[in-house]
Amino acid sequence: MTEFLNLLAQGATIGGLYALFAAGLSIVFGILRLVNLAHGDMIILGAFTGHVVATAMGLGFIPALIIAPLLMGAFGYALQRLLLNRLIGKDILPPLLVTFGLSMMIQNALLLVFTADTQKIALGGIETASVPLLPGVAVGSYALIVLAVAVVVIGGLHLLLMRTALGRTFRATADDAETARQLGVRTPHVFGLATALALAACGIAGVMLAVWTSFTPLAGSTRLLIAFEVIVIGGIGSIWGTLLGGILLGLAQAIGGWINPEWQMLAGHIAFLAVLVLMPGGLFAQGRR
Amino acid sequence: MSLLSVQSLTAHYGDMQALYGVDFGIDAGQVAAVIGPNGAGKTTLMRAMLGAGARTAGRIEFAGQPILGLPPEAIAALGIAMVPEGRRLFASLSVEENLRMGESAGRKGVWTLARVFDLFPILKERRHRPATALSGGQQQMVAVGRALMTNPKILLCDELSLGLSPLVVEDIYALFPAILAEGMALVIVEQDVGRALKVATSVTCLMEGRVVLQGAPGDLSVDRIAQAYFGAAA
Amino acid sequence: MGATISRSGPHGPKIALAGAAVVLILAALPAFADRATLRLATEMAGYLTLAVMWNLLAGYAGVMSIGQQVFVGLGGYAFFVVAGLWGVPVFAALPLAGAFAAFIALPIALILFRLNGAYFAVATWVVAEIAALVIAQTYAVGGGAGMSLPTQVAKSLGNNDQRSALIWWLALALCCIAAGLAYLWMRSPRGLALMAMRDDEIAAAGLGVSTTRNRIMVYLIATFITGIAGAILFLVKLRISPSAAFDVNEWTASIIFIVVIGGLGYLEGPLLGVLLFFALRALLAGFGPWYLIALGALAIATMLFAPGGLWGLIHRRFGWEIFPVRRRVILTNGETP
Repeated sequence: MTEFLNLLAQGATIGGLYALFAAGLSIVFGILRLVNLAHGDMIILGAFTGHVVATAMGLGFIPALIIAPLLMGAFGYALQRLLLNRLIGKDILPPLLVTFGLSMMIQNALLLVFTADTQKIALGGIETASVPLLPGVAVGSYALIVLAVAVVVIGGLHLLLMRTALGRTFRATADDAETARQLGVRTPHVFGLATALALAACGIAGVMLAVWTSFTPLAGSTRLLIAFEVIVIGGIGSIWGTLLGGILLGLAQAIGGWINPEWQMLAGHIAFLAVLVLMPGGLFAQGRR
Repeated sequence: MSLLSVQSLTAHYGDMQALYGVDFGIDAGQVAAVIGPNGAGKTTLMRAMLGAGARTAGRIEFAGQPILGLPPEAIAALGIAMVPEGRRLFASLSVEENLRMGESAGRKGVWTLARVFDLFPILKERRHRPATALSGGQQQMVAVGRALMTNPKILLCDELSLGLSPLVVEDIYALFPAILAEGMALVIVEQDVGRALKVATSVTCLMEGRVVLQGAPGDLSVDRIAQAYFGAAA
Repeated sequence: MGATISRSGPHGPKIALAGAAVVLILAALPAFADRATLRLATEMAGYLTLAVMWNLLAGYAGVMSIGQQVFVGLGGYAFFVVAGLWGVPVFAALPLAGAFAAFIALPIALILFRLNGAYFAVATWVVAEIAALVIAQTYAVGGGAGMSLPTQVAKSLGNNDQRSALIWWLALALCCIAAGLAYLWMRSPRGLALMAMRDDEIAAAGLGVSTTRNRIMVYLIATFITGIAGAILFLVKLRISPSAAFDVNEWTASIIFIVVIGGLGYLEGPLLGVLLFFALRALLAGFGPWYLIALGALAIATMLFAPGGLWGLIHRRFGWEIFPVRRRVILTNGETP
């Protein structure tokens, strides 16, 4: 029983990491109506950026957690203005194919610079420490930190979207970009800011991931699938839903892994398919926050 | 020189031509009515002034500056705003948030949130409701208020009365003097010719993408307008 | 004034003859090519088959799948089980492998076709991951380590030279069947309906075109052929494993780049794309990651500046068409409409 409770606690706390993976994808889809197939590679790019700042430059974890999102955000803005804005339209194929090509370019550029070796940011023991919850039930201290960061990031995104002029502009542009433009909204700039925000979230997710586990340049596609599953499970277009979806996915994986250690990923995928089959209505009710 | 002048404007949607050399102009404080049957090109003309919609050629000058080819957001910043047909309110924004979207144009002026709420007290009461939860007339008030919040020099109103009860339309038209008092120019597209003639200082009648009649409402008899409409004069 | 509607261009018969000649020359390849060349040609034919099917889905039916590796892998595994474990002759095992892929495709289509484009795309990838994980857990087919094709299956196709020739002919035949099917399908009323719904789904639905049923049909055809192609590609390798069979880069990313660079929505596109892809691979293979970066950049540039790909550029410049699927109005008295 305590073994099962431990697994549940682990599953729930990894949900924080998964929610961080999903936050950027959710922003890009919510505002630009675009699924970024390079999203997982953006997270890994964030992880490498954090790794360079924390380890190679020796600045440590906290500066990495600040600098990586800033750099990723700037990259996101440039990417959107220079490339992706040309693809916004009713046809979904061009943005999918272009982000797929981007995914391949990022993966291989990282391979070129960092080789296929595994990397990790060391945090001086916190990542292996744990906090007891009940007698015999404990969760990792670092997992709790990640969960707290996820709550702060998602809470911050929620406040930004619902309480600020920029968030209002984001929502209006997502509703009806043409009318927004006619009121003076510079939509190319707004889309640039949305992608900047999304990639900054990828930067944070990447740095948190880099401490959680070791990673390679090719580790992105798994993260894309997880992020995608999280936003479908949590309800598309709902920013708090990403936290819920992350926790549910983490729990599904924990339960699958408890039945058979090899079934951990499989259980997550099957939970996602089950949501698709049983609650397809939720999928079509897109975009209303 | 007019505040806004349109010269030999043509417009195409794909292979289909919607406007054939249209001339049009308006000055500050005036109300120009654009009338004509469905498909005559009224909305196309309006959207061209905003830099939206069809592929256009010709010349549009606003306060002496050519604006044809500018993106809609730049034209909005210069001071042209539209109340679009069907209102097109932002569904996930509240009434107040919809109104504040007018601030995006970055134009300061007499129209502030407080001033719009003075004009439409009911909107102040419902400022936190989702905009699409209001009645049709109230939604139209939001659309007008949102356009006013950009503090435009010219306000384009496309089919204000469409789908609204006559009483509500009466209320909305009753606000025109208050809006015009600020020196704004109004361009209205109306199906209801009688109503358009009552408020307009000039009338432009479009037929199949061409101007068939233009002048002050006093100079145009109902017969001539009817002839223009039904093509009997041609 | 009269008009007729024609799909064949002015050079229809000449092109058909030239095509037949090319296929005949290719079929005679074993007479003068060595085994390594045959193996490369077989691989190219396999990729071309996959690309033709992906183009049919994405370019004509508007079905954007990034999980086609699931059908390559399932076709390969089904073939190894049917021919290797059950001893069914190779020629019967190949269509069975395709049928198995299509059989699995039906429930997938029924679940995923309710999703709109981008969701469908990622969901197909998830399904491929599920298949890879399940196969890796299935110890009857070797689990994560995979399995080899028993030697008696290979020997049933003759000695090494005979086997290479036979597999090449199979791959060539499948490729011709795939191109023929795609061509005929696109010329059929259903094909027209497909193009109509690619261009405007809502309008096509309004005209009574059943979008979902047509899409499922074309999806099943594509998965059937994809499954057989997978079987042939792994028959060449004589070995299969989950990581190789369900590799998204090998069976989907490469194929997408072939189609996009060659010309999405043109039947001729994949042919040009395959030639370019293999040429680039041969030229740039020594440069490691640079090669894939260049490929990604080329695909992005193509989508931005020439969405019709290379063939689209050629078609616009010279008006060439090998597979005329577009109907043209020919005015009999020479007036413009």
